[in-house]
Amino acid sequence: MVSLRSFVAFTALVIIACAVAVPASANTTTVTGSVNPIVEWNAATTGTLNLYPNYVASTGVTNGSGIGSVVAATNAGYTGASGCTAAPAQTSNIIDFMNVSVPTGTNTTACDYQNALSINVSTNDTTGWNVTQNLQLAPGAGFTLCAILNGSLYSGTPRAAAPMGASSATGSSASINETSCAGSQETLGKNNTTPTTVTPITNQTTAGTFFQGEDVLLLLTSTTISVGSYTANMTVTLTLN
Amino acid sequence: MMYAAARLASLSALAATLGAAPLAAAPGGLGLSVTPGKIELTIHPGSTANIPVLVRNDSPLPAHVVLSMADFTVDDAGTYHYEAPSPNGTSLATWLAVRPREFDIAAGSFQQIQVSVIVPDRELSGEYAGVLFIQTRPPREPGGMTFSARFADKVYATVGSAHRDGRVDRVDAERDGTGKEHYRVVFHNTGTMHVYLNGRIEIRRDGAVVQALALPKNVLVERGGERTIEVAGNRLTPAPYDIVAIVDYGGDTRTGGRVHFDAH
Repeated sequence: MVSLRSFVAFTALVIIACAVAVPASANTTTVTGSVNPIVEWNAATTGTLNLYPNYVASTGVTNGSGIGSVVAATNAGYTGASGCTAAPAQTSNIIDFMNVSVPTGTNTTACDYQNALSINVSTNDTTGWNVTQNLQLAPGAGFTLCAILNGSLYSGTPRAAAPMGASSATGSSASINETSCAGSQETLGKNNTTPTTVTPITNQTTAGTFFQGEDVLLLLTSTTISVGSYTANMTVTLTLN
Repeated sequence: MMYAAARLASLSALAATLGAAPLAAAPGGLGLSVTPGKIELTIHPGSTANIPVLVRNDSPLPAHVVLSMADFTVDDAGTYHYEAPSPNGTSLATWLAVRPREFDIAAGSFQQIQVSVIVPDRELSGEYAGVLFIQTRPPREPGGMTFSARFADKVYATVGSAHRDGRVDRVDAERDGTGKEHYRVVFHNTGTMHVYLNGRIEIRRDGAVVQALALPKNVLVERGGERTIEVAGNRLTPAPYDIVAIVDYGGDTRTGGRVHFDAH
């Protein structure tokens, strides 16, 4: 941030100096030389957090008019493809799993919303930054939500073409046939003060522009879930170090 | 007939063109840009500092923004944990006041907020910290998953004076299952302000450095906090070694620690 006060003072000084420098008479002695004006300013720390629900891997931004893609587990022992339905057109920054079947017997319904969220961080803070994500409220009994990272953290300015990792989930992928968030998946079940970490975007220690994409996996693990419309809110927090 | 065929061909071509054309993207996304993204100031007990903070809606949609305060801690992985404001310890969250508390911002527009740090008039010393949350309110629509962008604007206020100090409490070395050597350095911030750690680990054999490993850059340790830093190195040939950690915490001197390690 440019110091306005210093700038004004400096400008006033220049004006006064110019006024004094105007020759009052022909007897004025001219002195030649040079000075090196010192210009100082402090750059304020800035941070920007952008979230793009339902992102397009080729651009990293929201697929405003496209169709979200939900992939279901199909292996035996699970409700299967019929348990999930295609997502509707994107509206108002919501990812909508649409109608999801409540599992029967010992089955689980597992629906993976592909390319659900792209997180973009940009900062000039050379000590780095940290991103966490969490649900505002824990999901109800029988529901689990997991974040599945797509590719690795991309960094660079300006953004290169197609920097985002795309979902690798498929309908036959064993990775989404599960009853709880597995392996590197992050469980989104915490409250507002206990964040879920997102490993590649936790504790970066440099300035720059960064992108990370992820899927959101919805698991229905109870056969007694009531019919209804359910909502979850995910909060993504950026903190500069 | 020929006319009909030509017309069909041109319609097909038109349909193919429309199909291939990218769909016009409707606006979407959430975005917050905050300046300054971190506030550091020096202040006296019983006084108030007012800091302007610029919040920009960095998205193509209007947003409603809500502000709140919290305490925070940082764990070994560098992850922040937030808690309700407490008047105790080194927290200043209860000293913060903001105006306005919530507001609407048009797409691509900005709002200036005033953050006031109101320091109690009592005996205080060193650095006090808290965060100001600047958060978009999620859309109120049933069904699906909604998102909220939250910026945690840290506030550090030094009351009177503060100094950097610290020590290495422990250095460990061990070999993992893959044959790599792992080194751990435990640093304790004994000063009265937050510090950023840099430094290196030297693996010495008979006094000579055989391997040097940089510590991760700018490792944050809050006032009174402790941080364990892990670094992996190549497998060492069997021999006795000295593992020396040299840590620069931004003070007048550096600190360090040493441990003897027999590689087998």
